[in-house]
Amino acid sequence: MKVTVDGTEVDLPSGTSAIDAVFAAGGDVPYFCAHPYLSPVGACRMCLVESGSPRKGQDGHFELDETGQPKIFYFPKPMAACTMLATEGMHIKTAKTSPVVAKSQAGMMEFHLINHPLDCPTCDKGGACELQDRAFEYGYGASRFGFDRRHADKHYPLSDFIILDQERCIHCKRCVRYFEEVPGQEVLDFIERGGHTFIDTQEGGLPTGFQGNIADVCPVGALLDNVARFRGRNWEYDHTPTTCTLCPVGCAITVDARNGRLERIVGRENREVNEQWICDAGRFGHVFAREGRLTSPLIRDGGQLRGASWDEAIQAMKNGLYGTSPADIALFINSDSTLEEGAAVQALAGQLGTGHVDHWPRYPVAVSSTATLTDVASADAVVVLGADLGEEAPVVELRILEALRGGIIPNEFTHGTAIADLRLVERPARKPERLAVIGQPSRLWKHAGIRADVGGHNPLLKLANPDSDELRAALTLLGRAEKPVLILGADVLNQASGSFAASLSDMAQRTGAKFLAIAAGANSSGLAALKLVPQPGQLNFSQLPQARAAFISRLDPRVRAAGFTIVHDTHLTETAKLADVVLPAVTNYEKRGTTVNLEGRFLALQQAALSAGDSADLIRTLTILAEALGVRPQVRGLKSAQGVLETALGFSVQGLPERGEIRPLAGAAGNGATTGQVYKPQLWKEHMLDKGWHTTWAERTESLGAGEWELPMAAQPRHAPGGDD
Amino acid sequence: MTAPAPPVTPRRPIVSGTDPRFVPTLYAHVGQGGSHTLEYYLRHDGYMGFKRAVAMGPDTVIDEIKKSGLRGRGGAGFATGLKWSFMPLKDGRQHIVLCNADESEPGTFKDRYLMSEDPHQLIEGMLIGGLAMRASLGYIYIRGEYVHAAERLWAAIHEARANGLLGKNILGSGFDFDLQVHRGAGAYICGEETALMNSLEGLRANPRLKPPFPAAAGLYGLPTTINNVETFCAATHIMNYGADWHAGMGTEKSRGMKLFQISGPVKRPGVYELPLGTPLRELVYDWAGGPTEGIKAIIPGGISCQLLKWSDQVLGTPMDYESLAAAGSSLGTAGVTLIPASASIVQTTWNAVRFYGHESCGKCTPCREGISGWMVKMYEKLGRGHGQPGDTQLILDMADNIGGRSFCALADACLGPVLSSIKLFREEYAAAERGELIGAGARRWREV
Repeated sequence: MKVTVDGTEVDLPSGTSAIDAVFAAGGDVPYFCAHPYLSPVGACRMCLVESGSPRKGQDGHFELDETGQPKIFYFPKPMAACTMLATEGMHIKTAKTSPVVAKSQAGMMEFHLINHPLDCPTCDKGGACELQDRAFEYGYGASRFGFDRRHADKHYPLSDFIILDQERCIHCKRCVRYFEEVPGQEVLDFIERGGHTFIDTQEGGLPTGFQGNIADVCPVGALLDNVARFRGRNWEYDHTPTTCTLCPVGCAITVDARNGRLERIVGRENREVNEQWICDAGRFGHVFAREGRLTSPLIRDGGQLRGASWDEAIQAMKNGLYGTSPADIALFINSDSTLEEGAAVQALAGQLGTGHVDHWPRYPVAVSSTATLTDVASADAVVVLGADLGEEAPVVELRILEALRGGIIPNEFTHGTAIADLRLVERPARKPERLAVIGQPSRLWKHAGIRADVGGHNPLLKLANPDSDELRAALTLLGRAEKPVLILGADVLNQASGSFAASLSDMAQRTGAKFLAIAAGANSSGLAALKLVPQPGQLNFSQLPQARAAFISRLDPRVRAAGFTIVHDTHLTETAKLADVVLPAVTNYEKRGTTVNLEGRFLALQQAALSAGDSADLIRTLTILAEALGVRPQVRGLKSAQGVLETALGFSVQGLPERGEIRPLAGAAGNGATTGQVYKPQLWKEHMLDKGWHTTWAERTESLGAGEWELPMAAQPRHAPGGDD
Repeated sequence: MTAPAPPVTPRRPIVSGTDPRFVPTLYAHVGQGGSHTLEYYLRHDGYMGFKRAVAMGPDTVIDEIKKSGLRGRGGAGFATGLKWSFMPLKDGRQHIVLCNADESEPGTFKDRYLMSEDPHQLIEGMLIGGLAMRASLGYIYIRGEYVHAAERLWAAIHEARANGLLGKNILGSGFDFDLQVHRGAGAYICGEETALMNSLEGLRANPRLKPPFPAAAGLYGLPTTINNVETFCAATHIMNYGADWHAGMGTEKSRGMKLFQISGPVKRPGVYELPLGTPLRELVYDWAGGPTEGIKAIIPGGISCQLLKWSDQVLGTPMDYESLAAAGSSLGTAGVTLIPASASIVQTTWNAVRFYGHESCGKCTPCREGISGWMVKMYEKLGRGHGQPGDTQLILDMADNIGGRSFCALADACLGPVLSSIKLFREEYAAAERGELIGAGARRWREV
């Protein structure tokens, strides 16, 4: 299909909208209501273009103009490009070549701004605001509106996390469509009509889970992240594009830090993983990265932990480990550690000759998923086995819901994801019959057509040998579907025994289903591939109290080893309080490295500019430990770790594409090292509710009700009042 | 050498209510005692049209409607037969016939009496439509304020059901059809067909994106055809008296009878059933008894139509779709409103703009901010005597930025009175820019 935009001809697939044709041709039109992952509605009327098509005459040939070219019959008025299908031979004129379009867009911008408060200097969106940018590019520069602006509630908290400024709202309806189309929750809508229209909830409050995304989709400063409110201007933040490691999905995020403090996390696009959406735990559950951090090593001195320098800590480790056989030192790390860190652990373990190596959390088996998240979103049948996705991998829930509303994944062009994919419609018909949920009741139940509560039994075995109508229906659903996907959650993977792999492949063969196993930790599939698990006869993480000496990185089992215990953590946890030496660690926001998500996708982590005193990442800490032990390990930095990884994996993890890359993990399925304990994923609880070492949202919102809570404000300047430096 | 053929007597169409050949049908029984009952309706050849339609078969019914030249009576004037033929034929889905009885256009009040005084002809018309379009379900979306009409409709539907005229296998024809009445909650936008469907589905009454058009995916995503009350009633009489009878009235492209409403300072305001093409003069003077005071302008078809200046030439305009379009306005719903010379045009237009501003749904920017926000404020400023030089020009420029740019036709409808009043009465706007309002009645608005 050939379309001409401002004289430039582009070749596009049929079904492309006019707005995408313009962008594909390298042009530009302003838009507010269109959004790549939401249905086009044509409400803001900014993307007006002049358009016309050739017309066939009576003889079946195109009518020609005087130059012999097909004559273009233009629509008498400008049309909204986001809701118009581009057709063969269509000509589109944007503001670049059409004065009519330029005037229409300037006029529309004037309408947008007549009731907008223009309080950009105090607005958190300032500098990253679509309205600001577009007003600058396409507006008149002045308004002829000589009346009072509409006044409405400027500080209206929709929930504890989202605050609404009704004056700034330009009624693009993105937030309403987001809730209806993505998490499938009908909570927000326009109230009143005409010039009085405003956004509100019917019953008050927003459902937790995915509400934070509306702050990302809002083109203006109407819906703001209350957690980051008034914490900095957009140009002051250091934006670091990285990967979230709170759960194994590996969503693309941007970490915004100011003056070394993590202030905000926003979602970033990765079409193949999280599209554009992240969960609330990933967005708001970052308080731990800045509150109560350990900034220097602690050593036990006279029974008490006291602050110390790294040199003192090295000396203390040297003294404490004196006489301990290096082969008795256990190395236990958190499974959200990067592959590079895993390689460092492995290298040091090899040097020390110890086999007491483990990562936690993990399940007894590491299953390599055969399905990708895109497979989930485009599946015609999804069976979820024993998973509480809200606590395990929330974004998988969104991808399942995407499958239920038709599995339409927006097209991709050279300019990125289609801005308006006309296959997406408002209020899409949902197909709950495509989803079966087997296991304990969870948030996903209300979306499922088939539900089976199997109590404590293994859902996979129950599905293989159905004994109820629901289970039989689920099996039939899988059998009849063309692209079925099985999702395996904690209740299946915890109970995995020796015959597990056989019964899984049997089920996959019987039904032709691909499966997606939700790993326990953010990088547990990657660390399992590095074989960071104890060999038979060696200690696993649950056997920590039996270890003669142990180095524990960012794990909180609340017990210590029998002998000398070194804890490497970001906070003074209960375990750290029992340790002999505590070394300050960095969070995953402050690391460079590689992680492997639940699909087996290699994703890069970048280091955000956070300041955390003397804390060190695992590679550096292990190098220091090696120094204390008097050995020189193969991995002493990121570069050498990547070298070791390349040898172990057979390919380089450097220069990964932005979307990551799915690579087969050699030998991952084979390990069956027992864990000795059951892992219960609690993403939401841990990051949003649990009372830990930091103030949690539960605490904050509790005090909010009591009127004790203050808006987070920047620290007072230290200089004397009146000074003006 | 052959003799010249005898001159063919040209068919002389009926274009006047005074033509002896013209027989009122739509309003024939309005005002008669008991006209809303089934017993009365059957006594006056009720449901005969439906029986004929059953005998004809669906395709012939659509052809007959096409032949009759019936055009949508809700305002747009789209050919009804063509619209009915857009419905997919054998797609196995539930088809729906929808009746737009959300009569909200200011100056329009024809449907309420059709429904309250003669509800069975609407039911019969919808039966015919349902038969022709293979629909077994019909909805009447009635304006919320029409309580009396809704009650009459409910009663009539109960009567029809009880007598086998609705339900399964109607009159042994094998055709199933049932009707529901839904009362609106008071929004002009619900007269827009897709907003009406949203409202009927229980959603916010915002217009929907077209395509898909209702015939492909309408109410609940099912093939739907929506027509005005008067259109369905006209279909009843076309089935009764034949397409030729209907085509014998009116002008070349505007065939049939029409309910004209007239309001404003006339002796006998009301609804008059006349053939299309009846001159405006006949309606105003012969039927409505002439104006009671000096008139300066006339709105020929409901408030969204362009104003026309009161003149001999305008009074001579035949009231049909084409002639009024040629005169610079449109027939719309044929709700004729006379504007007295004592009224200020600026304030009259303010009244209209305020109505549209109040009724804007708020979905798209030009209507929400332009009409509902800014335009109303501009007219309030002029209408209260606070006008400044340049205001009219600003209104014209805003209108240029609104016209054709909005999502649905509501904003464009508002521009009808705005642009035409500026065009025809520029001197009143010029005076308003100086803070002066022309018209004896202007003063009382000033301090409101």
